[in-house]
Amino acid sequence: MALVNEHRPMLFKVCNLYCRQEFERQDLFQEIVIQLWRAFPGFRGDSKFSTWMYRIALNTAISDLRKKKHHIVSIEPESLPDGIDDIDNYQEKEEKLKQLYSAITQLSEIERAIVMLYLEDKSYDEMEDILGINQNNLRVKMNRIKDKLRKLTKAVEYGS
Amino acid sequence: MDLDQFKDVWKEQDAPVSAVQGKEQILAMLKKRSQGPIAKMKRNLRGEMVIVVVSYTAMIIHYFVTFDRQFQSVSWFLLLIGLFYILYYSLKNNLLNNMLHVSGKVKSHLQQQVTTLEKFVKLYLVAGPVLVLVCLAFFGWIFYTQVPGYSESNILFESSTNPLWKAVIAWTVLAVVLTIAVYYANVWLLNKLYGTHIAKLKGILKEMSEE
Repeated sequence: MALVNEHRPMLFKVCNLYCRQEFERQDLFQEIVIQLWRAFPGFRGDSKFSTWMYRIALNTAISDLRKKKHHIVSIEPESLPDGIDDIDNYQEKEEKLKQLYSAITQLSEIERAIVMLYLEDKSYDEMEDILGINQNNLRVKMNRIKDKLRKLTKAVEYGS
Repeated sequence: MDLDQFKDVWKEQDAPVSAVQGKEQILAMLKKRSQGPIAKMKRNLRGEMVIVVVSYTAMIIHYFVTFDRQFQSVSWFLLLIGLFYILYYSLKNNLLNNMLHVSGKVKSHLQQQVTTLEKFVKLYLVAGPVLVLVCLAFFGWIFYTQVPGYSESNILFESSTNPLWKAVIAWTVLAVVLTIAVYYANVWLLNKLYGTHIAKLKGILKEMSEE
């Protein structure tokens, strides 16, 4: 329970990556927590706890059968968290985060997972351990994703 | 967009203010039923099992005690089909249990999901037509042996007015039409239920394997 609580931000990031609506994110969060709870007795420590957790979270998110409604993604802060003094800085960060999510959600399911692990500073070794894709392939994919994101951002800039 | 520029802001983000805050809320989540696809399929399968057990038990008792016990063989037949259903149920349940393991690497998990879902679908596709053929054969036999006079006026049975070859053709046509109809109805239903999902998973797997 404490471990789930400790890794809560990571779980929410997965939910944000794969769900567009708030209720979908809550459903997926609950589903991941249930899967973690069920799978925990089988955790033998062969891999790092975070690796094991990423696997379960991504497997649950990617293999979800539910049909998702297509709406524009919105990751809006409901209110300013306590302890935020620098409002401008906070808003700038939120804007950046929104920009990042709107670009990432245009990627495929696997590309999103790769980007997430990259942003989390996971090594290619660990990414391979989570995704099951060999490191060479991961590097190739990562370069393609970066290109794709650059093109997507340019397209948005020219469009606006 | 340069991804590296976003690493800090990505790492700093926390769970939303309105989201789960503590152990109590996580515990409350764990008390709820899983809404995951496999959990739902398992619940549906259990529901199907309950319906089969209740309806078959009622029918078995009914045919055993009514009609002056003339149709006791129907009861035995239903009992046999019911026993086969239990086997069918455990096969499907085992497949679903295999799909519940989510702690493997993403690629191998997806491969396992696709293989298992395809086996699950195949089981449905085979079981439907087989059940139709078995039922046709059994109820044909019942009407022929237990209902005097019925076979006399029916194209499906050999009689003074209906030669054997006509009856054989009639049975063949009926069996082929019903089997094909049930098979394609199942194909349509299963495609509607799982087709898109299997295609999606295969697409993801293909993308993962591409260099």
